[in-house]
Amino acid sequence: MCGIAGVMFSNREEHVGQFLFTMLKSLQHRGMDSAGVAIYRPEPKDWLVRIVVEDEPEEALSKIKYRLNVTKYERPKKLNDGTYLIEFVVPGSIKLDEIRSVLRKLGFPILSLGRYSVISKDVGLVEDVDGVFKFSESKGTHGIGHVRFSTESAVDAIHAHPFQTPEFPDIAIVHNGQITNYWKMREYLELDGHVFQTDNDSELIIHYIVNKLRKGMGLEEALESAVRDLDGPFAFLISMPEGIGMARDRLGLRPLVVAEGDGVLAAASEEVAIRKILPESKIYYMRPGEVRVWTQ
Amino acid sequence: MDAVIDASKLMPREINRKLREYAKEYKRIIIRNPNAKHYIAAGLVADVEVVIEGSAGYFLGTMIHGPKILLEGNAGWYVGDNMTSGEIAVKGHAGNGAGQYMYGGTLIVEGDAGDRSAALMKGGRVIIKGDAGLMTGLYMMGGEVIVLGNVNDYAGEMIIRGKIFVGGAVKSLGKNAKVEEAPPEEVERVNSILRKYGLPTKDSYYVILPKSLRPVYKPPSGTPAMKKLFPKYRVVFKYDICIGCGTCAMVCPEGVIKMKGYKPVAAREADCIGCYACMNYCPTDAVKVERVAESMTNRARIDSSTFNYMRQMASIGHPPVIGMGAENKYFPSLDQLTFIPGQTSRPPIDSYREPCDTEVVLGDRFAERPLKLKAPIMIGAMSFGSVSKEVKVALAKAAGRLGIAANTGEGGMLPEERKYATILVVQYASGRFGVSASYLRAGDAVEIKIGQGAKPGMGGLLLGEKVTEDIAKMRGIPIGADAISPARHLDIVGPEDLKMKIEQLREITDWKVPIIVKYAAGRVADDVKIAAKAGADIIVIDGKPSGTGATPYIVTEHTGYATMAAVVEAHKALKEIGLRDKVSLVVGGGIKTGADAAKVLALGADAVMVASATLVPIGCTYCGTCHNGKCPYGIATQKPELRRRINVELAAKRIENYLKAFIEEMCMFAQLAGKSKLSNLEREDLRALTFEASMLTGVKLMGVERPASDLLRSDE
Repeated sequence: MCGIAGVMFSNREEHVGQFLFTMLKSLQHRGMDSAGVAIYRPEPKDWLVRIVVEDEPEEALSKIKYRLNVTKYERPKKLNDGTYLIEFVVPGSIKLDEIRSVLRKLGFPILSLGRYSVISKDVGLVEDVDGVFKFSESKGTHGIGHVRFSTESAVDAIHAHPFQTPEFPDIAIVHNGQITNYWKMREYLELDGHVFQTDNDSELIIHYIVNKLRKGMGLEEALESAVRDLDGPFAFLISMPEGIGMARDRLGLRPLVVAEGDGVLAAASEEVAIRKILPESKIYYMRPGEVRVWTQ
Repeated sequence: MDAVIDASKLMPREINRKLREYAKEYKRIIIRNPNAKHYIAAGLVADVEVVIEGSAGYFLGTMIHGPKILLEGNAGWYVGDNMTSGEIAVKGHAGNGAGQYMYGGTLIVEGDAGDRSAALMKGGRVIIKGDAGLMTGLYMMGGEVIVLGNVNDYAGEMIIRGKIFVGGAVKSLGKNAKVEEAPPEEVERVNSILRKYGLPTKDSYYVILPKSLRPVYKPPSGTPAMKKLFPKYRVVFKYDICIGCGTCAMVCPEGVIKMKGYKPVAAREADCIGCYACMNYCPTDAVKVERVAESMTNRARIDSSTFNYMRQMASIGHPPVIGMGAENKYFPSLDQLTFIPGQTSRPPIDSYREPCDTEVVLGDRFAERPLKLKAPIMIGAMSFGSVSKEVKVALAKAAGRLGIAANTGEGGMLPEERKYATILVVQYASGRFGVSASYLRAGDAVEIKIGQGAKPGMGGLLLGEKVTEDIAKMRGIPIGADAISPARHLDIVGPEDLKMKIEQLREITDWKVPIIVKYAAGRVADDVKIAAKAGADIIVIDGKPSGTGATPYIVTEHTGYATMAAVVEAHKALKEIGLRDKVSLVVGGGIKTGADAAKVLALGADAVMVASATLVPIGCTYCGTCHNGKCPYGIATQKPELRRRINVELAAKRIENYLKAFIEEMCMFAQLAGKSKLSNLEREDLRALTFEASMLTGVKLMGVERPASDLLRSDE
């Protein structure tokens, strides 16, 4: 699957949305099914939640308002895949479990959930997705983006990337490739208490990394371990409030290039995306099995 | 004067059209603002100098023939891919796969090169001034690589010919590679090459060379072979009519029959493979080969095929290879479906007197020149190498006369084949044997072979026994080496790569001919959707049972997906993404008669692919000795004495007869079901005889008049 991009500014807020938009547009040929970005702000705020409903969005919104302390909300928007997007804000003091259990009971899939991060994603070209979310106007410290060429899972807004699991808000992943030992690894992680929401292999990477972080590894170590344990072709960027981590499979079957400019770091599937935003920088091709971590 | 192209606002297609146009008039063309665009100068055949002021994207100079390209920035992946002559100089770094599949010319990278440089290279020269990544010279089959810096791990992985000179350090060697100190005359030769290009020289080099010509299928040595014990056939002679001419003993490929004076005897019956050559060539019908009841081991009841196979494993130490399709009896067969006739609810059409349209147009989605077939049949890919020249020519002649498509297979194109076939599909497989821009442009369609039904997930295989001088020359490999294509195209690892590959091939063929993607049936729905979205004009699905020239026995017996289920899934997948009317679907795998073909059409295909079955008119008996060059009918062999047994014109006539009958059979089913066009066959015209066939295809179960899946659902 796909083309991936990431950009990070050291300790300052910039037009991350615009940068990602430009990069993804130049990677558009790598996937035209769907597109999306996750953008991070430096300080935590209240929970920003985006969910998707198939129909009757007004009714869904009133149900949520009835059960959760919603402080702010937006009129439901129609997404390119025909479903509706509902966006609302819940105070930061509310426990994650509460939000999750309410939404689970109501049966609404979560598109974005976080205090640092906002995910915008939908089917269509980068421009189509920006038309709905206007993410290119967002500022932030860092972000990741994705254009998708679907392989083995459905084409709709929820299955677009960046992928997030409500188990761990504010961790998002963009992934190009497949994990071919998915079920083996999933069993192993489930024994460790992880709960999977989908059969998507990108979710597995998040669980895997979180599992290793909880065991006390640093992100870099966790990524190195992922390269050893996960099979198949892949290149991925995983973003957290602290920064972005990335890895490439052992055989180097998926591309990833990076450039480190003046106070700005960029990663993408192809050089062309980086050239668009950092025309003068020196481009470095990540080695097979290489991992890299950028922190704020 | 120089021509200048400002590429900033141009699509690769426009850049390439301009390049071709300017190359006719100018000696030097400058490209400004390339902005890392892909496929620059793809397939450019001209004696011209191209200067690119900036960086280039993927596939710079792919399949060029003649031009000299100077790139001032970095090159993306696969620079100089499959080039046949000319020169590319990259001032910056190069991504992965620099000089992969090269046949000739020179590629110079002044910076570092990524992984898998010069992979599957067959000729020409790659010079890397900096360091090279992993697996430099992967599966290299010829040519030479000079790296002035260091090479990373697994250098020369499975190299079988060619040399890799390294000025720096060699981190580790790949399988079948050995490293030596280059002798002084070689050092001088390398340095003189480097001086020619104004590059620094070194006083000494390591040189990486192949250990063996056949690292995979080494001929057995050391252990004496275990005999086969359980015979599958009995050879019976009628001595009263035998004239003692010895023909049977001469034609027996396995040496089963020996002459005892003027009397033939079956000396090693267990070795008989059932090719019936003795019966076929005996002038007096004095010999008969009979299949005997399957023998079993005393305990555990292991059947004779498996038991003999296990002993063969013990003899040779690697998975034994076999030709033709699987013995596996459990694959569902199209025979479990039957056509139902029109009577008075709908009238049948008279197949002897009334017309039936058979024409079909395939691949009119993006291609300027879609395939217009007189009947919905494409002859499946069988390479020159796997089959003899006589077979290729006979097939091309028959296809040409019938107005159906022939296929080159993955071993390059014979001029005769092009001459006789009116519609010729050129195959682009993972080994890229015999591939060049002119080869692709000579075809009426390009088929990207991702997989083959008989050995899904594996690449093409041609054992060294069949690689004669002609074959070696055409494929760019050493004589007697195994031609083993990689399991995947080195540049198609995922869906976006397939999309880029299709675009690359369209650039080379200038969007004129259809691009076909051929899959072995597996995750059919996912793969078909990917190919359709990637821009394929035609998708071919090859299911089980299906044929091959050579494959590990164990693979063909234990892998695959049934044709009848695959066609239904592919058809459904295309409908789901709304592209069924745009993308043509061709299905093959075990199609032998017009009945099989008509059923596949009724299940949703636009055309069928027939391959192995077209060899029967030449004499093939499905004995399975296609892999070792001993084919007694001159089909799957390159030995002149065996090939002489084919009369090309007679063979062509018989194939033509067979396919003519085949087309008439298809029409019969369409007409008795009340249609005047073959393309109007539909699922409703079929009934399933078994529950299983109904479940697999959704065809109504006979006697119940509902699909079996409905029956399960109504239990809820």
